[in-house]
Amino acid sequence: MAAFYSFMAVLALVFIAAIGAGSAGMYTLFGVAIPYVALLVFLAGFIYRIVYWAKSPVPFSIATTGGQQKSLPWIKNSPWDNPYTVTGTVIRMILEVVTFRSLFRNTKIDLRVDNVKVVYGSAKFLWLFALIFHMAFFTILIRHMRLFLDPVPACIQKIEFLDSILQVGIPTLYQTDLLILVGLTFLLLRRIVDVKVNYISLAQDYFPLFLLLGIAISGIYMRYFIKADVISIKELTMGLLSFKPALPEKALETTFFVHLFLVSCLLAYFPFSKLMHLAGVFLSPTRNLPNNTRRQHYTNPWNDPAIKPHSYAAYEDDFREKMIEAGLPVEKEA
Amino acid sequence: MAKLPPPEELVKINYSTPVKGWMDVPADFRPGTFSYPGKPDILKYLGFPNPREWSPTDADWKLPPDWREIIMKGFRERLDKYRSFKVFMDICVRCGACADKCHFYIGSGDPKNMPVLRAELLRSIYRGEFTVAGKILSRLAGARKLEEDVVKEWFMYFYQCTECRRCSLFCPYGIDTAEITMMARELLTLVGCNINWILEPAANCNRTGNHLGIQPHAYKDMMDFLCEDIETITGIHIEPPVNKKGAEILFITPSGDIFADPGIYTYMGYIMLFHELGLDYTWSTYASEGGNFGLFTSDTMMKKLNGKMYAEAKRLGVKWILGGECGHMWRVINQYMDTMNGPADFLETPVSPITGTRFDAAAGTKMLHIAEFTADLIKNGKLKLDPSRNANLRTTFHDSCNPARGMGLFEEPRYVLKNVCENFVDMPEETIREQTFCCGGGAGLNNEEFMEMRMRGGLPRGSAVKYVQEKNQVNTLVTICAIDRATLPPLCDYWAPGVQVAGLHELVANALVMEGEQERTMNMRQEPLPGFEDAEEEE
Amino acid sequence: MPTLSDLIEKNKEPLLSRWLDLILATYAKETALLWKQQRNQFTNPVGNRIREGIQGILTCLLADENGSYQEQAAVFLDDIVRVRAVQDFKPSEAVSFIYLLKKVLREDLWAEIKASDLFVELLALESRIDSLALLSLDIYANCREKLYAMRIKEVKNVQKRLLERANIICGYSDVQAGGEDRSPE
Ligand code: HEM
Ligand code: SF4
Ligand code: SF4
Repeated sequence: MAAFYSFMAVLALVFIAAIGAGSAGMYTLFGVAIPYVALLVFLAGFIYRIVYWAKSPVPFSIATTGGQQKSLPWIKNSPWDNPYTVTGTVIRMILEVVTFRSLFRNTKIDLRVDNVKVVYGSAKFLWLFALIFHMAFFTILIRHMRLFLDPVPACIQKIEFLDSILQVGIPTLYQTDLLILVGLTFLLLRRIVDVKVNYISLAQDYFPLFLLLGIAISGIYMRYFIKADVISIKELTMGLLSFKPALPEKALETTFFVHLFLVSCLLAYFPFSKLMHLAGVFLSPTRNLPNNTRRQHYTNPWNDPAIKPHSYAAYEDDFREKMIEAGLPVEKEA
Repeated sequence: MAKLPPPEELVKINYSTPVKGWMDVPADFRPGTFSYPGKPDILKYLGFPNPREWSPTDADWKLPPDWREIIMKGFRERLDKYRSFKVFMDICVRCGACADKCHFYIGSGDPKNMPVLRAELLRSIYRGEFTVAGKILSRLAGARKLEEDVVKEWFMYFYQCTECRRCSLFCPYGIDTAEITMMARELLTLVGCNINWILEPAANCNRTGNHLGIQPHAYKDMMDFLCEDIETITGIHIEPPVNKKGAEILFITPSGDIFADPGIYTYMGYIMLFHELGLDYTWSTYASEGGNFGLFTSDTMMKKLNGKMYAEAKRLGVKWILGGECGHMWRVINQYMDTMNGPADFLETPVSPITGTRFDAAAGTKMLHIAEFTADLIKNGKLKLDPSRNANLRTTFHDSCNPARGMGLFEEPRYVLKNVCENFVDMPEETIREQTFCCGGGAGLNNEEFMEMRMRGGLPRGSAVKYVQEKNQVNTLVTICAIDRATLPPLCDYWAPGVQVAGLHELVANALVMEGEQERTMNMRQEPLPGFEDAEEEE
Repeated sequence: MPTLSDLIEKNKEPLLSRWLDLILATYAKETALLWKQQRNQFTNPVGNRIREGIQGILTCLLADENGSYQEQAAVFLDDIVRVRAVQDFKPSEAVSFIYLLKKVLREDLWAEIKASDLFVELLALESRIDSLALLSLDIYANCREKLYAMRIKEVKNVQKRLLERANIICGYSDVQAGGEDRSPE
C-alpha cells in the first residue's frame, strides 16, 4: 500500500510537469521559478536541519568500538575500527562513507558445511547494490556539473571519458546510467520482496526510490532516445546560475521539464526526509568520535556539578557502629 | 472413505501472526517476557515520580493524569540534550541491516525485537508529534499519536533490549538502538514505569555501596569468610586491607562477585593475586560496587552512583584506581566517567608498581582494567603460573557486550587466559569480539522472572557454546563480567548443559603459584585439581 | 512394490521443505522467511535447529522399525522443543510441530499411498509419529521444569551464602557423611 501511494505520488508529479510544461506551456514556471524555489528550499532546509541537529550537544563520547582498543604497546590495536586519534577517526569516517564499511560487516559469506556451497545472504547484496547506486548517483551528479561550468573543467571531462569507457552506442553509453537503474531497482525490489524489510518500510522509504527512478529514466530517455539539445539546456542552466534566467530560443522538450521538475521535487523534499542521512552520517556520535575518553577529558556542556554521590559522611553516619564493631576504620569515632 | 481430519486440527495451530502492520499489534504481557515493576517505596527513596502498586498485566497502569504532557516535555528535553537522539530519530533509512542482528529477535522471532522496529516505536511518536509531515499524513508518514497502548508497548520492548549495541555495529550510520532504549527508559521513568530489578539495586548502591544492600560489617564478614576458604585451599592466611587510607591503589569490582557463585571464586582470585604481589592497595565498603545500574535508569542516576569512585579515591588518598571484571561498569568508566565526574586531577596516571609500566590508555580516568594489569604482569614475567592446574578445563571466552563494543577489550583477557590455561579455543567468529552475542540479561534484565525471555535472547550465545562444546569438548566458559557470571550459568545449563562458567581471575588464582603455599590439591571451587582426583576419594 | 519408506526416501527433500515451511509458519511471516533463508547456524540458530532437527527425526522414523527410534529421535526433538519451550507458545503449540509431518505425508503422498495401498504402513508410521509427540511433551515438560528450577536456583544463589554466613541457616559441608538418615519409604 505504502509503495503504491508513493508510486502514484511520483506519477502525479510526472503528469504535473508533462501537462504544465507540455500542453499548458508554462515554461517559465517549470524552467525557472520552480527550480529556483526548490533550490532555495533545499539550501534553507539543509542548513536548517544541520543547525537543528548541531544545536543539541553531544554530551558523551559513545563510539561503537569495532576492534581492539589501544592499550598495551605489545597488543596490536585496530586503528580504524577502534580509533583513538583524530586521524583514525577520520579514516573510519571516510571508509564508512566511501565503502559503507559497517554495512560490509554483514557481508560474510556463509560456508555451508553440508554441501560446501557458498551462499550469499541478502545482506551482502544490500551492501553491493547500495554502493552501486550511491557511486553511480555521485558520478552522475559530478557529470552534471558540465551544465553549470563554462568552460567544462578537465576533471569532469575525464570522468565522462571514464564513465563511457566501453564506447558503445550513440551517444556513447555511460555505465553509471545503467548502474543507477540496477541499484535503484534492486533496492526497490528488495523492499517489496524481502518480507522483513517490507514489514518495516514506510511510504517515505518508497517515495525517494520512485522519484530517483523517475529522474534517472527521464534523464536516460532524454539522452539516448530523444537526444535532447544539450546546448539549449546549458543556455538555460547558465542563465539560472548567473541570475539572468532566460528561456533558450529553441523550445525545450517536455521530457526535459519532467526531468527538471522531478529534480526540483527531490531538492525540495531532501531536507525533510531520510535522505538527510547524507549529512547525518557525519554527525553520528557512535562513528565520528574517537574512543579515547579514558585517555583524555571529554566535556559535557550540561554536566550538572550539583549532582553529588551519596556522601561518605552520610554513609558512615548510617553504619558507624556496625563498622566499628567489624573493625573497619572510621573517620569519626562514635 | 470418510475424509480424514487434517492432523493439525488436533491442536489449534496459530499460523503466523495476523498480517497486520506493527502499529496494530498491541503488546501482549505474558509471564516470562517482562520484568516486575519498581516497588513504590524504592521509587520514593530515589525520588522518582508516580510510585504505586501496579502490574504490566493490569488494564489500568495508573499513569499520572497529565502523562502525555510529561512524556512530550521529556521527549523535547532529551532531543535538546542529545544530538545522538535527534540524528538517530531522523536518519534511519530502514535498510534492515540491523534487523537480524539482535539476539532477542534471533531467538524470539518477534518483529518488534528487530532493532529498527524497536527504534520505530519511538520514532513513530517523534514523527507524529514533532514533524509537520507526520502531523498531516499521520500513518502514511509512519507517524502515530501517543496513546496508553504505546506506553505499554514501550515498556515491553525497551525492557527487552539489553543495550548491547550489536545493532549499532552493523548500521551504516551507526544508529545505536541502545541509545534510543536509554532515552525511552528515561521517558518511561518520568511516568513511573520502570522495573524493580534496576531500581532496587540502584537504591541499594546509593545507600550501602552495593547492589544487595549489604551493610559494611556484613561485607567485611563475607570477605573474611572467603579468606577462610583461601586458607583452606592455599594454607595462606590473608587479611585484605579495607578502607585503608594512604594506600597506593583503590580496587573496585562489582559487588555481585562477593555474594554469589561463581563470582566469589574470582573475588578470591583478586585477593590472592594482590597478596602475592604485595600490592599496596585497599578495598572499600563505601564504593564496593563497580557496576552501575544508573546506566539503565538515567544519566543523573548514573552520575550519582559513579561519583562514589572518585569521592572514595580522594578520601582515601590513593594514586589511582584498579577496576575488576565487569561489563557495563567498564562502559561507564570508559565512555562516561571522566565526562561526568572528572577530570580526576587529584589522581595519577596508573603505573604498575610491579612492572613499572605506565598505562597511558588510562591517563584520563586514572582507572585501569584488571585484565590490562594482569596481562602486563604476565608479559613481564612477574607471575609464577602453573597452567597445569587448569588442565582439566577446556575453555572458551565470552566477550561481554560492553567491554567489546564500548571499549574494545579483546586481546588482554585472552592473553591472560592463554597463559593460565593451555586449552583455549575461540567460538565462531561471528559470535565473538565486536560481533559478540549478549548473554540475554544485560541492562538490568538479569532478573529471574525474565528467565524465559533471557533464554530466548541467550540462544545465539548458547548455540555457539554448544558448538565448541561438541567440536572441541569445551567445558568452561570464561568471562570478565559479573552479570555474565550470574546469567551465563543458567544459559549454559539450558542450551549447553555441562559447560560451567568461570571468571578470568578464578583461573588465574588456580594457576597462581604463591609463596609459602601448601601443596595445592584443590582448585578455587574446592574440587580436586587434575592429578588429585583419587586422593579425594580415598579420604 | 515400493514401501512407504521408499516413497518417503525418494521424496525426502520436498517433504522436509514443506514440513519446515509449516513449522516456520507458526512464527511471524517476516521471521519465517528469514529463518528459512539464512543458513548460518550461529546467526540463525532457530532456523537451523529446526531444519536439522526435522531431518534427523525423519531419518530416525524411517531407519528403525522396532523400538530404538524413540531414543535416537529424542536428541533431534530436543533441539526443536527446547527452543519452542521458551518462545511464547502454549504447550500444545510447542509440540504440535510433530503432527505437521502427518499433514505433509498425507497431503503430499496421498495419491501414491492410495495407488500402492500403503495404508497399513501409513498407520504404523503415524503411530510412531504419535509416540514422538508424547516424547516431545516429556521434553517440553523437562525444559519448563528446568526453567523454573533455574529461577529458583538463581534466587537462592543470591542469598544462600549470606544466610549461611549470618548463621541463620545451617550448612552441612563440614558435617561428616555417614550419619545419613534412611529416607522414608
Ligand atoms: C555520504 C553519503 C552517503 C552515505 C554514506 C549513504 C549511505 C547509504 C546507505 C548505506 C544506504 C542503505 C541502502 C538501503 O537503504 O537500501 C542508503 C540508502 C539510500 N541513500 Fe544514501 N548515502 C549517502 C548519500 C546519499 C545521497 C546524496 C543520496 C541522494 C539522493 C542518497 C540516497 C539514498 C536513498 C534514496 C537511499 C534509500 C534506498 C532505500 O530506501 O532502499 N544517499 N544510503
Ligand atoms: S541499520 Fe541503521 S539505517 Fe538500517 S534500518 Fe537499522 S537503524 Fe536504520
Ligand atoms: S542494543 Fe542489543 S538488545 Fe538492544 S536492540 Fe540493539 S541488538 Fe537488540
